[in-house]
Amino acid sequence: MKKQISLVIADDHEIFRDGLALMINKQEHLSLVGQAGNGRELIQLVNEKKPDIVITDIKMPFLDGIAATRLMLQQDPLLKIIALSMFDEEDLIVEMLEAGAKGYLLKNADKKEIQEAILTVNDGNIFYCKLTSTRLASLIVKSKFDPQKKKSSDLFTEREKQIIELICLQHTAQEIGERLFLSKRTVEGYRTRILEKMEVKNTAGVVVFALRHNLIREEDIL
Amino acid sequence: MEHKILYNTILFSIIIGAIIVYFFVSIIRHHRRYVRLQREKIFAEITIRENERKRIAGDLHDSMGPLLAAVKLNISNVEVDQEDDREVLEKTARYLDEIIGSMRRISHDLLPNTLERKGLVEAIREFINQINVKASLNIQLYVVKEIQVPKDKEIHIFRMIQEIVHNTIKHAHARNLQIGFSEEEGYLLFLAKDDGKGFDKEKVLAGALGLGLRSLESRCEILNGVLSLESKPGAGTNYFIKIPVR
Repeated sequence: MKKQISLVIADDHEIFRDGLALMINKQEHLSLVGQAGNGRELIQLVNEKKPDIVITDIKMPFLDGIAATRLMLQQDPLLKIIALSMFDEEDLIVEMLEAGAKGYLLKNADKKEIQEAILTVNDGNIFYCKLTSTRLASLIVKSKFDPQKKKSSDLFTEREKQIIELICLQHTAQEIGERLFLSKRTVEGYRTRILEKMEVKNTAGVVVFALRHNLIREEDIL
Repeated sequence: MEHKILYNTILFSIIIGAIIVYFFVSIIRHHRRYVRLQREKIFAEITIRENERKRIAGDLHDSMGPLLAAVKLNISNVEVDQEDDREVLEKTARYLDEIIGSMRRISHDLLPNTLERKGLVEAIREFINQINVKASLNIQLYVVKEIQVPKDKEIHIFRMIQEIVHNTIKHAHARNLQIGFSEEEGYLLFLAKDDGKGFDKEKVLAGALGLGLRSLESRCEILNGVLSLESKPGAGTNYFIKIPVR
Protein backbone atom coordinates (compact mmCIF):
# COMPACT_ATOMS: atom_id res chain seq x y z
CA MET A 1 0.00 0.00 0.00
CA LYS A 2 1.15 3.52 -0.82
CA LYS A 3 2.22 5.70 2.05
CA GLN A 4 -0.59 7.83 3.39
CA ILE A 5 -0.40 11.59 2.92
CA SER A 6 -1.05 13.42 6.18
CA LEU A 7 -2.88 16.74 6.04
CA VAL A 8 -3.80 19.68 8.22
CA ILE A 9 -6.54 22.06 7.10
CA ALA A 10 -7.28 25.61 8.22
CA ASP A 11 -10.33 27.76 7.54
CA ASP A 12 -12.34 30.07 9.76
CA HIS A 13 -15.62 28.68 8.41
CA GLU A 14 -16.36 25.50 10.29
CA ILE A 15 -18.89 24.36 7.73
CA PHE A 16 -16.36 24.55 4.94
CA ARG A 17 -13.79 22.76 7.06
CA ASP A 18 -16.31 20.01 7.78
CA GLY A 19 -16.94 19.48 4.08
CA LEU A 20 -13.24 19.33 3.35
CA ALA A 21 -12.60 16.99 6.29
CA LEU A 22 -15.36 14.65 5.13
CA MET A 23 -13.88 14.55 1.65
CA ILE A 24 -10.36 13.87 2.90
CA ASN A 25 -11.48 11.21 5.34
CA LYS A 26 -13.21 9.32 2.55
CA GLN A 27 -9.94 8.92 0.68
CA GLU A 28 -7.88 5.92 1.69
CA HIS A 29 -4.53 7.42 0.85
CA LEU A 30 -5.20 10.66 2.75
CA SER A 31 -5.23 11.12 6.47
CA LEU A 32 -6.45 14.27 8.16
CA VAL A 33 -4.43 14.88 11.30
CA GLY A 34 -5.81 18.24 12.41
CA GLN A 35 -8.06 21.23 11.76
CA ALA A 36 -7.46 24.87 12.64
CA GLY A 37 -9.81 27.85 12.70
CA ASN A 38 -7.17 30.53 12.34
CA GLY A 39 -3.52 31.09 11.51
CA ARG A 40 -2.29 30.90 15.08
CA GLU A 41 -3.93 27.52 15.70
CA LEU A 42 -2.56 26.34 12.38
CA ILE A 43 1.03 27.05 13.30
CA GLN A 44 0.68 25.27 16.63
CA LEU A 45 -0.95 22.29 14.99
CA VAL A 46 1.67 22.00 12.28
CA ASN A 47 4.42 22.07 14.92
CA GLU A 48 2.71 19.29 16.81
CA LYS A 49 1.58 17.02 14.00
CA LYS A 50 4.23 17.58 11.30
CA PRO A 51 1.88 16.94 8.36
CA ASP A 52 3.02 16.43 4.75
CA ILE A 53 0.62 18.98 3.39
CA VAL A 54 -1.28 22.00 4.73
CA ILE A 55 -4.40 23.33 3.02
CA THR A 56 -5.13 26.78 4.34
CA ASP A 57 -7.57 29.60 3.78
CA ILE A 58 -5.97 32.99 3.11
CA LYS A 59 -8.24 35.38 5.00
CA MET A 60 -8.37 34.23 8.60
CA PRO A 61 -8.61 35.96 11.98
CA PHE A 62 -5.54 36.53 14.23
CA LEU A 63 -3.02 35.52 11.63
CA ASP A 64 -3.78 35.28 7.94
CA GLY A 65 -2.72 32.51 5.60
CA ILE A 66 0.09 34.54 4.07
CA ALA A 67 1.82 35.30 7.37
CA ALA A 68 1.17 31.75 8.59
CA THR A 69 2.73 30.35 5.41
CA ARG A 70 5.90 32.39 5.92
CA LEU A 71 6.18 31.27 9.54
CA MET A 72 5.51 27.61 8.80
CA LEU A 73 8.10 27.58 6.02
CA GLN A 74 10.67 29.18 8.30
CA GLN A 75 10.23 26.21 10.63
CA ASP A 76 10.06 23.61 7.91
CA PRO A 77 11.10 24.72 4.43
CA LEU A 78 9.95 21.44 2.91
CA LEU A 79 6.36 21.73 4.06
CA LYS A 80 3.92 21.78 1.17
CA ILE A 81 1.20 24.37 1.42
CA ILE A 82 -1.91 24.77 -0.71
CA ALA A 83 -3.84 28.04 -0.51
CA LEU A 84 -7.63 28.10 -0.42
CA SER A 85 -9.25 31.21 -1.73
CA MET A 86 -12.58 32.80 -2.46
CA PHE A 87 -13.12 34.42 -5.84
CA ASP A 88 -11.80 37.93 -6.43
CA GLU A 89 -8.72 37.37 -4.32
CA GLU A 90 -6.23 37.08 -7.14
CA ASP A 91 -3.70 39.37 -5.53
CA LEU A 92 -3.89 37.39 -2.28
CA ILE A 93 -3.26 34.16 -4.17
CA VAL A 94 -0.17 35.72 -5.73
CA GLU A 95 1.01 36.79 -2.27
CA MET A 96 0.52 33.23 -1.02
CA LEU A 97 2.62 31.86 -3.89
CA GLU A 98 5.30 34.46 -3.22
CA ALA A 99 5.23 33.45 0.43
CA GLY A 100 6.01 29.90 -0.64
CA ALA A 101 2.72 28.06 -1.22
CA LYS A 102 2.99 25.30 -3.81
CA GLY A 103 -0.48 25.63 -5.23
CA TYR A 104 -3.90 27.12 -4.78
CA LEU A 105 -7.52 26.11 -5.01
CA LEU A 106 -10.59 28.25 -5.36
CA LYS A 107 -13.12 27.27 -2.74
CA ASN A 108 -15.71 26.21 -5.26
CA ALA A 109 -13.33 23.68 -6.80
CA ASP A 110 -14.80 20.18 -6.90
CA LYS A 111 -13.67 17.03 -5.18
CA LYS A 112 -11.61 15.78 -8.10
CA GLU A 113 -9.77 19.06 -8.35
CA ILE A 114 -8.93 19.08 -4.65
CA GLN A 115 -7.61 15.52 -4.78
CA GLU A 116 -5.54 16.37 -7.83
CA ALA A 117 -4.10 19.40 -6.05
CA ILE A 118 -3.05 17.27 -3.08
CA LEU A 119 -1.40 14.63 -5.26
CA THR A 120 0.32 17.14 -7.53
CA VAL A 121 1.80 19.11 -4.66
CA ASN A 122 2.75 15.93 -2.84
CA ASP A 123 4.76 14.85 -5.90
CA GLY A 124 6.70 18.10 -5.64
CA ASN A 125 4.95 19.93 -8.47
CA ILE A 126 3.09 23.22 -8.57
CA PHE A 127 -0.67 23.15 -8.78
CA TYR A 128 -2.65 25.84 -10.59
CA CYS A 129 -6.41 25.62 -10.03
CA LYS A 130 -8.48 24.85 -13.11
CA LEU A 131 -10.64 27.91 -12.38
CA THR A 132 -7.70 30.30 -12.85
CA SER A 133 -8.71 33.48 -14.63
CA THR A 134 -6.56 35.11 -17.27
CA ARG A 135 -6.01 38.02 -14.91
CA LEU A 136 -4.68 35.69 -12.24
CA ALA A 137 -2.42 33.91 -14.73
CA SER A 138 -0.90 37.19 -15.82
CA LEU A 139 -0.51 38.38 -12.22
CA ILE A 140 1.32 35.15 -11.41
CA VAL A 141 3.63 35.59 -14.38
CA LYS A 142 4.45 39.16 -13.33
CA SER A 143 5.01 38.16 -9.70
CA LYS A 144 8.18 37.05 -7.95
CA PHE A 145 6.83 33.51 -7.93
CA ASP A 146 8.94 31.63 -10.45
CA PRO A 147 9.25 27.95 -9.69
CA GLN A 148 9.79 26.69 -13.21
CA LYS A 149 13.21 26.91 -14.73
CA LYS A 150 12.94 28.91 -17.91
CA LYS A 151 12.71 26.58 -20.84
CA SER A 152 13.49 27.36 -24.39
CA SER A 153 10.47 27.98 -26.55
CA ASP A 154 12.24 25.88 -29.20
CA LEU A 155 11.04 23.01 -27.09
CA PHE A 156 7.82 23.09 -29.06
CA THR A 157 7.12 22.37 -32.70
CA GLU A 158 5.11 24.89 -34.75
CA ARG A 159 2.06 22.62 -34.54
CA GLU A 160 2.40 22.42 -30.76
CA LYS A 161 2.67 26.19 -30.52
CA GLN A 162 -0.53 26.52 -32.53
CA ILE A 163 -2.26 24.11 -30.20
CA ILE A 164 -0.88 25.86 -27.10
CA GLU A 165 -2.42 29.10 -28.30
CA LEU A 166 -5.80 27.48 -28.85
CA ILE A 167 -5.65 25.77 -25.45
CA CYS A 168 -5.00 29.17 -23.86
CA LEU A 169 -8.08 30.50 -25.63
CA GLN A 170 -10.04 27.80 -23.77
CA HIS A 171 -10.90 25.75 -26.86
CA THR A 172 -11.77 22.09 -26.34
CA ALA A 173 -9.88 19.29 -28.07
CA GLN A 174 -12.88 18.87 -30.37
CA GLU A 175 -12.81 22.55 -31.42
CA ILE A 176 -9.06 22.57 -31.89
CA GLY A 177 -9.34 19.48 -34.04
CA GLU A 178 -11.99 21.10 -36.25
CA ARG A 179 -9.86 24.18 -36.72
CA LEU A 180 -6.64 22.41 -37.55
CA PHE A 181 -8.23 19.50 -39.42
CA LEU A 182 -7.02 16.94 -36.92
CA SER A 183 -8.94 14.28 -35.07
CA LYS A 184 -9.92 14.86 -31.47
CA ARG A 185 -7.67 11.96 -30.47
CA THR A 186 -4.64 13.47 -32.19
CA VAL A 187 -5.24 16.81 -30.46
CA GLU A 188 -5.52 15.02 -27.11
CA GLY A 189 -2.20 13.32 -27.84
CA TYR A 190 -0.60 16.71 -28.56
CA ARG A 191 -2.12 18.15 -25.41
CA THR A 192 -0.69 15.37 -23.25
CA ARG A 193 2.76 15.90 -24.77
CA ILE A 194 2.52 19.66 -24.20
CA LEU A 195 1.54 19.17 -20.55
CA GLU A 196 4.46 16.79 -20.10
CA LYS A 197 6.97 19.15 -21.69
CA MET A 198 5.70 22.03 -19.58
CA GLU A 199 5.48 19.83 -16.47
CA VAL A 200 2.01 21.12 -15.70
CA LYS A 201 -1.27 19.41 -14.98
CA ASN A 202 -4.01 21.43 -16.64
CA THR A 203 -5.00 24.34 -18.85
CA ALA A 204 -4.30 26.88 -16.09
CA GLY A 205 -0.73 25.62 -15.93
CA VAL A 206 -0.42 25.86 -19.72
CA VAL A 207 -1.64 29.48 -19.67
CA VAL A 208 0.84 30.48 -16.96
CA PHE A 209 3.70 28.71 -18.78
CA ALA A 210 2.79 30.17 -22.17
CA LEU A 211 2.54 33.72 -20.77
CA ARG A 212 5.83 33.39 -18.96
CA HIS A 213 7.63 32.08 -22.04
CA ASN A 214 6.04 34.59 -24.40
CA LEU A 215 4.28 31.89 -26.38
CA ILE A 216 1.16 34.06 -26.13
CA ARG A 217 0.48 37.65 -25.24
CA GLU A 218 -1.89 38.70 -22.49
CA GLU A 219 -3.97 40.81 -24.90
CA ASP A 220 -4.59 37.77 -27.11
CA ILE A 221 -6.36 35.77 -24.45
CA LEU A 222 -8.34 38.46 -22.65
CA MET B 1 -37.42 122.42 17.79
CA GLU B 2 -36.00 121.91 14.28
CA HIS B 3 -32.94 120.38 15.79
CA LYS B 4 -35.05 117.93 17.65
CA ILE B 5 -36.88 116.86 14.51
CA LEU B 6 -33.60 116.44 12.63
CA TYR B 7 -32.16 114.51 15.54
CA ASN B 8 -35.18 112.22 15.69
CA THR B 9 -35.13 111.62 11.95
CA ILE B 10 -31.46 110.68 12.02
CA LEU B 11 -32.00 108.39 14.98
CA PHE B 12 -34.97 106.81 13.32
CA SER B 13 -33.04 106.29 10.08
CA ILE B 14 -30.18 104.70 11.93
CA ILE B 15 -32.54 102.32 13.70
CA ILE B 16 -34.29 101.38 10.45
CA GLY B 17 -30.89 101.00 8.77
CA ALA B 18 -29.65 98.77 11.56
CA ILE B 19 -32.77 96.63 11.33
CA ILE B 20 -32.36 96.31 7.57
CA VAL B 21 -28.67 95.38 7.91
CA TYR B 22 -29.47 92.90 10.65
CA PHE B 23 -32.20 91.43 8.47
CA PHE B 24 -29.88 90.95 5.50
CA VAL B 25 -27.07 89.58 7.60
CA SER B 26 -29.50 87.09 9.13
CA ILE B 27 -30.73 86.02 5.75
CA ILE B 28 -27.21 85.52 4.46
CA ARG B 29 -26.19 83.63 7.56
CA HIS B 30 -29.26 81.53 7.44
CA HIS B 31 -28.66 80.75 3.80
CA ARG B 32 -25.05 79.81 4.45
CA ARG B 33 -26.09 77.56 7.25
CA TYR B 34 -28.73 76.00 5.05
CA VAL B 35 -26.19 75.30 2.31
CA ARG B 36 -23.76 73.86 4.83
CA LEU B 37 -26.41 71.62 6.36
CA GLN B 38 -27.54 70.54 2.94
CA ARG B 39 -24.01 69.59 2.03
CA GLU B 40 -23.56 67.73 5.30
CA LYS B 41 -26.80 65.91 4.68
CA ILE B 42 -25.74 64.81 1.21
CA PHE B 43 -22.38 63.79 2.61
CA ALA B 44 -24.02 61.74 5.36
CA GLU B 45 -26.39 60.10 2.91
CA ILE B 46 -23.65 59.15 0.51
CA THR B 47 -21.43 57.90 3.33
CA ILE B 48 -24.23 55.77 4.74
CA ARG B 49 -24.91 54.35 1.31
CA GLU B 50 -21.25 53.51 0.72
CA ASN B 51 -20.90 51.89 4.15
CA GLU B 52 -24.00 49.87 3.54
CA ARG B 53 -22.70 48.71 0.17
CA LYS B 54 -19.39 47.78 1.74
CA ARG B 55 -21.11 45.76 4.44
CA ILE B 56 -23.34 43.87 2.00
CA ALA B 57 -20.43 43.20 -0.38
CA GLY B 58 -18.34 41.93 2.54
CA ASP B 59 -21.12 39.68 3.84
CA LEU B 60 -21.73 38.19 0.42
CA HIS B 61 -18.05 37.63 -0.18
CA ASP B 62 -16.88 36.50 3.23
CA SER B 63 -19.91 34.72 4.67
CA MET B 64 -22.20 33.55 1.89
CA GLY B 65 -19.37 32.58 -0.46
CA PRO B 66 -17.68 30.05 1.80
CA LEU B 67 -21.08 28.67 2.85
CA LEU B 68 -22.09 27.99 -0.73
CA ALA B 69 -18.66 26.53 -1.45
CA ALA B 70 -19.15 24.25 1.57
CA VAL B 71 -22.54 23.15 0.24
CA LYS B 72 -20.93 22.31 -3.08
CA LEU B 73 -18.19 20.34 -1.38
CA ASN B 74 -20.75 18.42 0.67
CA ILE B 75 -22.73 17.53 -2.41
CA SER B 76 -19.63 16.24 -4.15
CA ASN B 77 -18.99 14.07 -1.09
CA VAL B 78 -22.21 12.15 -1.72
CA GLU B 79 -21.59 8.99 -3.68
CA VAL B 80 -24.42 7.38 -5.58
CA ASP B 81 -24.63 4.24 -7.69
CA GLN B 82 -27.35 5.29 -10.08
CA GLU B 83 -26.23 7.18 -13.17
CA ASP B 84 -29.28 9.50 -13.15
CA ASP B 85 -28.73 10.34 -9.49
CA ARG B 86 -25.18 11.24 -10.28
CA GLU B 87 -26.39 13.51 -13.06
CA VAL B 88 -28.70 15.29 -10.62
CA LEU B 89 -25.80 15.89 -8.26
CA GLU B 90 -23.56 17.15 -11.03
CA LYS B 91 -26.27 19.48 -12.25
CA THR B 92 -26.77 20.80 -8.72
CA ALA B 93 -23.05 21.46 -8.42
CA ARG B 94 -23.17 23.43 -11.67
CA TYR B 95 -26.14 25.46 -10.39
CA LEU B 96 -24.16 26.25 -7.27
CA ASP B 97 -21.27 27.42 -9.43
CA GLU B 98 -23.66 29.74 -11.22
CA ILE B 99 -24.95 31.10 -7.92
CA ILE B 100 -21.40 31.62 -6.64
CA GLY B 101 -20.54 33.33 -9.93
CA SER B 102 -23.47 35.74 -9.80
CA MET B 103 -22.79 36.48 -6.15
CA ARG B 104 -19.26 37.35 -7.10
CA ARG B 105 -20.58 39.81 -9.68
CA ILE B 106 -23.05 41.37 -7.24
CA SER B 107 -20.40 41.72 -4.55
CA HIS B 108 -17.95 43.18 -7.04
CA ASP B 109 -20.48 45.68 -8.41
CA LEU B 110 -21.29 46.84 -4.90
CA LEU B 111 -17.68 47.44 -4.03
CA PRO B 112 -14.66 46.19 -5.91
CA ASN B 113 -12.32 44.30 -3.64
CA THR B 114 -9.33 45.83 -5.33
CA LEU B 115 -10.25 49.32 -4.14
CA GLU B 116 -10.07 48.17 -0.54
CA ARG B 117 -6.85 46.29 -0.92
CA LYS B 118 -4.84 47.87 -3.68
CA GLY B 119 -6.09 51.42 -3.77
CA LEU B 120 -7.62 53.75 -6.30
CA VAL B 121 -5.36 53.50 -9.31
CA GLU B 122 -5.32 49.68 -9.34
CA ALA B 123 -9.11 49.59 -8.94
CA ILE B 124 -9.52 51.99 -11.85
CA ARG B 125 -7.14 49.94 -13.97
CA GLU B 126 -9.13 46.82 -13.24
CA PHE B 127 -12.44 48.56 -13.92
CA ILE B 128 -11.20 49.90 -17.25
CA ASN B 129 -9.84 46.51 -18.29
CA GLN B 130 -13.21 44.96 -17.64
CA ILE B 131 -14.98 47.63 -19.69
CA ASN B 132 -12.48 47.27 -22.54
CA VAL B 133 -13.22 43.56 -22.70
CA LYS B 134 -17.02 43.85 -22.52
CA ALA B 135 -18.04 47.10 -24.14
CA SER B 136 -17.41 48.55 -27.58
CA LEU B 137 -15.80 51.56 -25.95
CA ASN B 138 -12.02 51.71 -25.98
CA ILE B 139 -10.62 53.40 -22.89
CA GLN B 140 -7.04 54.56 -22.51
CA LEU B 141 -5.74 55.36 -19.09
CA TYR B 142 -2.81 57.68 -18.54
CA VAL B 143 -1.40 57.97 -15.05
CA VAL B 144 0.95 60.89 -15.40
CA LYS B 145 2.00 60.87 -11.78
CA GLU B 146 1.30 58.25 -9.13
CA ILE B 147 -1.30 59.69 -6.82
CA GLN B 148 -1.70 59.27 -3.09
CA VAL B 149 -5.36 59.69 -2.21
CA PRO B 150 -6.66 59.50 1.37
CA LYS B 151 -8.61 56.25 1.91
CA ASP B 152 -11.91 57.97 2.69
CA LYS B 153 -11.81 59.93 -0.56
CA GLU B 154 -10.96 57.01 -2.82
CA ILE B 155 -14.44 55.56 -2.99
CA HIS B 156 -15.94 58.88 -4.10
CA ILE B 157 -13.38 59.39 -6.83
CA PHE B 158 -13.85 55.81 -7.96
CA ARG B 159 -17.62 56.29 -8.16
CA MET B 160 -17.18 59.50 -10.14
CA ILE B 161 -15.07 57.68 -12.70
CA GLN B 162 -17.58 54.85 -12.87
CA GLU B 163 -20.32 57.39 -13.45
CA ILE B 164 -18.38 59.11 -16.23
CA VAL B 165 -17.55 55.83 -17.96
CA HIS B 166 -21.13 54.60 -17.69
CA ASN B 167 -22.43 57.91 -19.03
CA THR B 168 -20.06 57.64 -21.95
CA ILE B 169 -21.15 54.08 -22.72
CA LYS B 170 -24.84 54.80 -22.31
CA HIS B 171 -25.28 58.16 -23.93
CA ALA B 172 -22.22 59.36 -25.79
CA HIS B 173 -21.93 56.62 -28.46
CA ALA B 174 -18.22 57.28 -28.31
CA ARG B 175 -15.53 55.01 -29.68
CA ASN B 176 -12.69 56.25 -27.54
CA LEU B 177 -12.43 57.62 -24.06
CA GLN B 178 -9.16 58.94 -22.74
CA ILE B 179 -8.72 59.24 -19.02
CA GLY B 180 -5.78 61.00 -17.45
CA PHE B 181 -4.64 61.40 -13.85
CA SER B 182 -2.05 63.58 -12.32
CA GLU B 183 -1.18 65.31 -9.10
CA GLU B 184 -0.13 68.90 -8.75
CA GLU B 185 0.50 70.82 -5.57
CA GLY B 186 -1.75 68.67 -3.46
CA TYR B 187 -4.53 68.48 -6.00
CA LEU B 188 -5.68 65.44 -7.87
CA LEU B 189 -6.28 66.39 -11.48
CA PHE B 190 -8.53 64.24 -13.55
CA LEU B 191 -9.39 64.61 -17.18
CA ALA B 192 -11.73 62.53 -19.32
CA LYS B 193 -12.28 63.15 -22.99
CA ASP B 194 -14.53 61.24 -25.35
CA ASP B 195 -15.17 61.43 -29.10
CA GLY B 196 -18.92 60.88 -28.78
CA LYS B 197 -21.91 62.86 -29.86
CA GLY B 198 -21.82 65.36 -26.99
CA PHE B 199 -24.87 66.99 -25.44
CA ASP B 200 -26.52 70.22 -24.45
CA LYS B 201 -25.56 70.62 -20.81
CA GLU B 202 -28.45 72.87 -19.77
CA LYS B 203 -31.04 70.59 -21.33
CA VAL B 204 -29.60 67.43 -19.78
CA LEU B 205 -29.29 68.93 -16.31
CA ALA B 206 -32.95 69.94 -16.45
CA GLY B 207 -34.17 66.47 -17.41
CA ALA B 208 -34.15 63.08 -15.74
CA LEU B 209 -30.90 62.15 -17.46
CA GLY B 210 -29.22 64.80 -15.39
CA LEU B 211 -29.41 62.62 -12.30
CA GLY B 212 -26.05 61.02 -13.00
CA LEU B 213 -24.45 64.37 -13.63
CA ARG B 214 -25.92 65.81 -10.47
CA SER B 215 -24.59 62.90 -8.43
CA LEU B 216 -21.22 63.59 -10.01
CA GLU B 217 -21.48 67.20 -8.88
CA SER B 218 -22.52 66.19 -5.34
CA ARG B 219 -19.57 63.85 -4.97
CA CYS B 220 -17.25 66.52 -6.23
CA GLU B 221 -18.72 69.03 -3.81
CA ILE B 222 -18.27 66.63 -0.89
CA LEU B 223 -14.59 66.45 -1.71
CA ASN B 224 -14.38 70.25 -1.97
CA GLY B 225 -13.45 69.76 -5.58
CA VAL B 226 -14.26 71.53 -8.79
CA LEU B 227 -15.96 69.87 -11.72
CA SER B 228 -16.06 71.47 -15.09
CA LEU B 229 -17.78 69.95 -18.02
CA GLU B 230 -17.54 70.95 -21.63
CA SER B 231 -19.84 69.47 -24.15
CA LYS B 232 -21.59 70.49 -27.33
CA PRO B 233 -23.77 68.37 -29.56
CA GLY B 234 -21.49 66.73 -32.09
CA ALA B 235 -18.26 67.71 -30.40
CA GLY B 236 -17.63 65.09 -27.70
CA THR B 237 -17.47 65.68 -23.99
CA ASN B 238 -14.64 66.74 -21.70
CA TYR B 239 -14.71 66.39 -17.96
CA PHE B 240 -12.18 68.13 -15.83
CA ILE B 241 -12.04 67.52 -12.08
CA LYS B 242 -9.73 69.02 -9.48
CA ILE B 243 -9.80 67.68 -5.92
CA PRO B 244 -7.62 68.58 -2.96
CA VAL B 245 -5.99 65.38 -1.64
CA ARG B 246 -3.71 66.60 1.13
